[in-house]
Amino acid sequence: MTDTSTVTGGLRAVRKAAGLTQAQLAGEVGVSRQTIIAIERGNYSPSVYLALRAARALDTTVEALFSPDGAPSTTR
Amino acid sequence: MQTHHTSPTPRADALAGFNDPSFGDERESTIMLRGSLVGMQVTTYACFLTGLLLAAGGAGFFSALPIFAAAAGGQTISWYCSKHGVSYWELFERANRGRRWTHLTIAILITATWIGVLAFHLVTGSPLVPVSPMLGTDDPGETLIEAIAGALAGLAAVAIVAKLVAGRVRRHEADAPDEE
Repeated sequence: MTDTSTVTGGLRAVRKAAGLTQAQLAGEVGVSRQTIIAIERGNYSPSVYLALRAARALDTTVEALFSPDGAPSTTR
Repeated sequence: MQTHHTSPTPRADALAGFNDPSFGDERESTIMLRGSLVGMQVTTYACFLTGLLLAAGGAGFFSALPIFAAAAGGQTISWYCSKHGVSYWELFERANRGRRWTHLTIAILITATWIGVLAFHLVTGSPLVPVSPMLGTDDPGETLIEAIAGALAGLAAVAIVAKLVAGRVRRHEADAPDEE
């Protein structure tokens, strides 16, 4: 049942460029810091809603933050 | 866990606490749900084991009660899935052979053992493990007080351990540095 594919991408880089810590981003998008860590490590694929909230918090696009496993992420 | 759509099972959702903050964010709630499923499986086998122990202790056909109670979990899953337009049994049909045989084998073994233990009681007239002499009393009042005291002590022990573990986890998570 479990979809083992993950999304990886530029979340960490974009977050750092925005000058946010994982805890600050977690607070912005309303999740725990552990969830941000899991996403950045590629251990968890966020829902569309969470991806959109993260993109909004970092003032970028979802495509800039995430891409299917293996594919390079695009940046704005 | 946030549910954004009207659920066809609002009371069941409230009972399970899906919209409670304790379910955490979406990743945490997924893990909670998976953990709950593992817990339900363990509870089912624990119910079977309790039934076996009761049968061995001489509870007779009352030992079937926890086994029937164990079936409530599976029935509830099936009901909940059907309310949400998912056929649980149709999905279960797709289970891989190894998983299906493991569960079937365990169920057959437990049922056969339970019947065997009951048959022993019926044939010999005494249970496999006579419990009354071990308790050292035939006074039902005294036994009840001991059982209540034991349950309270057990609950207190579980609460203390849970509080200690939760405190350690919280401290560990709070102290963890930002990953860079």
